[in-house]
Parts: sequence; structure tokens; C-alpha cells
Amino acid sequence: MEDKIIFDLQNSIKVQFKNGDKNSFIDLDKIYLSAPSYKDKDKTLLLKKKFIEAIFGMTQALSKQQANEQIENENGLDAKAIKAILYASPNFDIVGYFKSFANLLLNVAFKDEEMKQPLTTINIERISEEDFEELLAKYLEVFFIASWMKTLK
Amino acid sequence: MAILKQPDLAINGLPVAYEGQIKVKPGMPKRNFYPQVNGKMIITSDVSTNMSIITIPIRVTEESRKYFKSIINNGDNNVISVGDLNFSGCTLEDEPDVALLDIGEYVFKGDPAI
Repeated sequence: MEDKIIFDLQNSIKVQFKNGDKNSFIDLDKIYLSAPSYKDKDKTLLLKKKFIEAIFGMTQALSKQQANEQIENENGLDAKAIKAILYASPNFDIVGYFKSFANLLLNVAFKDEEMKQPLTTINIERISEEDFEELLAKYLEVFFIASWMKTLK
Repeated sequence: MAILKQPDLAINGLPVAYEGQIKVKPGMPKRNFYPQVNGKMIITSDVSTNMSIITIPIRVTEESRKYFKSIINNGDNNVISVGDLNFSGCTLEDEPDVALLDIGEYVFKGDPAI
């Protein structure tokens, strides 16, 4: 499993950035993301639980064979499929899920390649809705889905 | 009507806790107007007001005192974000003269909002 990825923002955001000793504002177009660790478990366990609930919510409407096919898809779930599950699952609290993910980002998202300058709440709130959605789906795809899906097999 | 949220505050990339309302003057040149008899009004620009003034109410603790000492040492190398507004080149004017656990107003002056 990868331990970090770089996410390209379609819409750059203005953020505070420390370049050496100089504090300034830059237009950030890349976010550097690290894998979550055990210390983030209070956030990641919640994301995992709710995602599995979303899958069950969706698969209840399918036949057993279709449901197994969905879960055992060789290619796993990509970002597009993840978004479809989040939006299509009935009675799924997607707003709460986005807020939980934003909370996790405070620990795993950085403005610099050295991962020393974390994103703050102000920065996260400036990310466009489209970028945030893509970021969430990509993060789940890279860091979580492989291990989460084992829970369902 | 939706409940309005108070803006988040970050100084030099770090969130800062505050208590009360932040006062922000984004900064722009002031216009002076001189109407004339039998003549067109004269409008001039006063750049002495073309700076931002940000007043942040902080409950003073030992920790906050140490923090703002480091801010003073930064000189004008401070950047502040209040909600959607961004201010660069901010200098802390002075440390407020308040007792521990009282609320002090920290006044920054800097470049106009970007």
C-alpha cells in the first residue's frame, strides 16, 4: 500500500505558506496526503463503518449474485465507484461523512512535499466542492478500500 | 435564517483561538471630496489609510504571551487569514496591557486584504 499521494486541485486555493523564514500566501494547486496511522483511528474507524453501511444500503436493492459481483470486482472500487456508492446509498448521511473526512484531513493533508505544513480548517473550507469530492474518493481508493473490502468478503 | 458562524483565524499557517469578535478593516485609500462653486468636485486619494487593521481579542495566558512574543519578533513577516480575507506583511502594533486571564486586544497592521 502506498504511504503518500499527491492530489492535483482543479481550482487552486490561496493558503498561507512558509518558504524558509518568509511567511506569505500562495495559490496551492497540489495537496500532499499521507496514509493515516493508528493515532487517527477515532476518525478512520468512523469512515470505515459508515462506508460499509453505505455499501450494505446499496446492495440491499440488488440480488445476492449482483451484490457479490459488486463486492468481488477484481479491480476493486475506484474513485468513480466510490462516489456512486456515497451518493446512491439510501439514507446515507453524506454531509456528516464529508465533515468526518475534513476532520481526518487536518492530520493527513499537507501544503508542502516535506509534509511539514499541514492544511488547516481555513484551507480546507476553501477547497471547491468538486475538488473535495474527488479528494475524498481518491483518498478512500488509495488508502482504505483494499483493506475495507476484505471485511465484506 | 441560518446561524452565522464566526470566521476561523490563522496566523502564519496555524489556527489561533480567540474570544469575541475580530474587527477587520481591510484597508483602502480614503477619498477626500472638495465640492467647488462653479467648478467640478475635486476628489483626492489619501493613501495613509491604505493598510489593514486587524484587532483580535485573545484571552491572555502564559502560553499566549509566549506565542505573541514570537509574533513580535517576526516583525512584518506575519500573514493572517480571517475567514475569506487574507492579509500579508502584518506587524503586531503592541502587546496589550492586561492581567492574566483577561481579554487583550492584539492589533495588527499590514497590507490591504488580498
